[in-house]
Amino acid sequence: MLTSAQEFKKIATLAHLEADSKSAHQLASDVSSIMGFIEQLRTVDTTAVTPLIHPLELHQRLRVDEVHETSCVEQLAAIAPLFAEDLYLVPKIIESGK
Amino acid sequence: MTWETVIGLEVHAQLKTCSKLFSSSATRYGAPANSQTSYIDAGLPGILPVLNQKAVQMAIQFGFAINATINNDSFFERKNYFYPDLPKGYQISQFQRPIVSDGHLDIDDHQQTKRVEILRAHLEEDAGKSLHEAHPTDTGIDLNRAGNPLLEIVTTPCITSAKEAICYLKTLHQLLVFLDICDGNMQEGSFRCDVNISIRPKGQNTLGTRTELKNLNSFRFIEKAIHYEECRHQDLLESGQIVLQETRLYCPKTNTTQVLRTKENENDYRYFPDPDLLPIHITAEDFA
Amino acid sequence: MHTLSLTALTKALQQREFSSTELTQHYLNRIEKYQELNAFISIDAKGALSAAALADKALKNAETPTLMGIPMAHKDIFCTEAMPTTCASKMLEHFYSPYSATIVKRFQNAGAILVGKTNMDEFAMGSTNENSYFGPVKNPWNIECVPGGSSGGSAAAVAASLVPFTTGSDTGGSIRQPAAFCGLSGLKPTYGLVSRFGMVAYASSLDHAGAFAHSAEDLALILQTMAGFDEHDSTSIQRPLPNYSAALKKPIKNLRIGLPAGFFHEEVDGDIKEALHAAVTLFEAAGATVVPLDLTLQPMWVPCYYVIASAEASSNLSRYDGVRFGHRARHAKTLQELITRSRTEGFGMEVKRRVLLGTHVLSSGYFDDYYVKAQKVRRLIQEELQQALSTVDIILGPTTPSTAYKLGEALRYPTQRYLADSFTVGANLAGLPALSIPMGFSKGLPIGMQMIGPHFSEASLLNIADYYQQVTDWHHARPNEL
Repeated sequence: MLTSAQEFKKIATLAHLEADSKSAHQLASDVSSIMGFIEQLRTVDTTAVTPLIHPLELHQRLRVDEVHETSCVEQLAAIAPLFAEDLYLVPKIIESGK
Repeated sequence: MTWETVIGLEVHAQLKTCSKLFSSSATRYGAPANSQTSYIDAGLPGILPVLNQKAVQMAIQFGFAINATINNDSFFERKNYFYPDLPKGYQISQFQRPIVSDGHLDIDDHQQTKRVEILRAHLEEDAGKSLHEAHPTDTGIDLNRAGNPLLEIVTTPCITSAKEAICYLKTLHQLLVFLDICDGNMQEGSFRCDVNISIRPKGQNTLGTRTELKNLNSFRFIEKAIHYEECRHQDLLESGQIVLQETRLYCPKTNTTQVLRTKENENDYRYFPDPDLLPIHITAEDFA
Repeated sequence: MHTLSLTALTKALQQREFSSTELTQHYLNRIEKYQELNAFISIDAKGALSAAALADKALKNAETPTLMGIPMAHKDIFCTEAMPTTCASKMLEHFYSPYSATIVKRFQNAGAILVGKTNMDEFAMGSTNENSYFGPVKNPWNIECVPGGSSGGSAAAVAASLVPFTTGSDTGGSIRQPAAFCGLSGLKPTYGLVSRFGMVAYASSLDHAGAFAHSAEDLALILQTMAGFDEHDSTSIQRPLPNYSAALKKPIKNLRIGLPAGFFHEEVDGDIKEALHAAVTLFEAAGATVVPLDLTLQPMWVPCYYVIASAEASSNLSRYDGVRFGHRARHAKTLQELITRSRTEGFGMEVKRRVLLGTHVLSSGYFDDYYVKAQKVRRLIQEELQQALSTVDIILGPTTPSTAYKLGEALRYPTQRYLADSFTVGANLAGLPALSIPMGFSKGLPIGMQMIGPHFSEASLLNIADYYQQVTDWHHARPNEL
């Protein structure tokens, strides 16, 4: 449950979303009520059950290590909001790493 | 007070495949910006990953060479965080079940053999590059490197000195190049090392607070950075202060390390199994 | 022309009763005439007529693919080079994909004529098509009602005979529920049967590409073109395809039909229950037997679905950050501001709701209790369904508990809306094929019947649906004024 504005802010920050106070209140309340609805999953006994990730129990197909792509920088540039001298541009990042 | 150093090392080795881990773009170094970036690499809506067979084979080869367990049914997970050089907003990596685990590499350090325990080696895709000097007001992003195949090799915190660390790294480097699975070119970023370092009173079992060191692209820098950190930790602890858990960058110009981010600012990566990829099934043929 | 079924249209074109150009123009006129339905986001009249002219040339030869010259539309979730792919979101309002989805190419290679992209709930999140940046879609049976969602535009387009068939996507019922609300035949195939490459991802392990048409016979033709292995999709299945059309008209004498008690609870409309029982009677008259089922985990389907779908969605939608494509906030001074404002401005409320929910259930401290738990429950749900399907050939029930709501009615309470998917999400969780076909009307609004089968039983499901459509007329009904 999202019990506090602080918790909501933490999730919103992780998701890189922001909301004015009215929307934030609405969203937090919606998410809390959905979480309440989801709680009923706890009533199911899942002792010794392995999680199901894929509906069909199959294995990953492997691709032959060959190059099949050529430059598509023009197409990428055409759809990019801000692209100059073959680079995507974003506001200057101060730190020099992650 | 006598202190002892505890070091764990993480190496990201770029695998020497022709194409990327999940797309068939070239991996060659030095191409013009964004000329080796396919729609898959750029994370366009609707794209899907398909795994490179050679990368899997190379990981298995490495696993054999370090007497490790090759894990059948290892799977990929998404490491979620936002950064412009990470096109999908997540990195496809392995977390819970890496392809290789529990191996070792014996190193010869001045007539003494030490066994370095390698906890795990897993496959993951590389991110692109952020170029801060390319433009006056903006940072430029080149996604050529995005999607390149990496093998992340992690030791246990069993290394006790800068000398030992360098010895291990050089031995590992040699091995990777010998196996022909990595070209080992540190200038080009084919062999990158992060250091996790802490100190503790000699004889103590519990570990001290560690610092993660990044941006170390030569053996010389690694050695210097470790020495600097050992002193920095010692100075703090001996003056009654605490070591904060941080990620720091080594600055060659000043021979110091500077804070990049603290524990509080660390991301919650929300790892979960990638639903676009299926578990890797290793057969007896792969062991041949 | 628009009153003909897809099957009849293919024959008419092959026999040159009229040309693809005439047919395409006819549908383009209807699309224009019924604009108020708001079924389409983009139309490419010029491109369509060009393609129709080429199809007409090809049709002069003896052997052409079945769908040659047939107009169609794609849900605006499938990437098309020819026109924008918006996913009904401000985030992708002006996005032109530089590549086309695998299924788009397959229909193109088969000679089908792409006339436009249909409206939908934003990023496929919704069940009423009221969550579209381009406005809601109206149900052709009653324009004060919703067509269902998220493939509302695709359903409305076929129901109003604006095109003979459309594609859709189904993550929790987004083809079957609108098919039920609009009196159509809608198919969600087995997971992995139809390629997802180029289908903008909502929840990768639950997303399925499928189609809408007026009959099972028509769906068989469409599936033949759509289905099959795609090397670009790691979850695509490699197996030989049956001839779906040839598998029709087989007797259903020994059919075992499972009826889950949970599909007939008191919240389900009386008219719907009655229609289902009438359908069951018809099947029994043909020699089928009914087996009562108790799917004890059925109440867990919806909560389980919402945890997994929102978790996967929160990750799939992280690529929308204003950097490489899509909406970009203006005057952002820092990177953080750029990403956050682009996303906040680009996404609607429902999308934000689900991204936040998904981020929460994956976050540290909650992951085990919610995400892992849901994946474990998912396995139990799949096992229960597969166990049931080992004792019966199909699971039958109403597609939805009610008929189409009035526009604006359902929006108020998220959890109430989510329960509308009660009968459909199970098939997505288990990856089982399922279809919805019309089985009657209630107060002028269509009612749909859902059939769920074992993995890869599409041929059998279509055969059973086709049988029902041979002995009933519901699928022939069309909205009055249209």
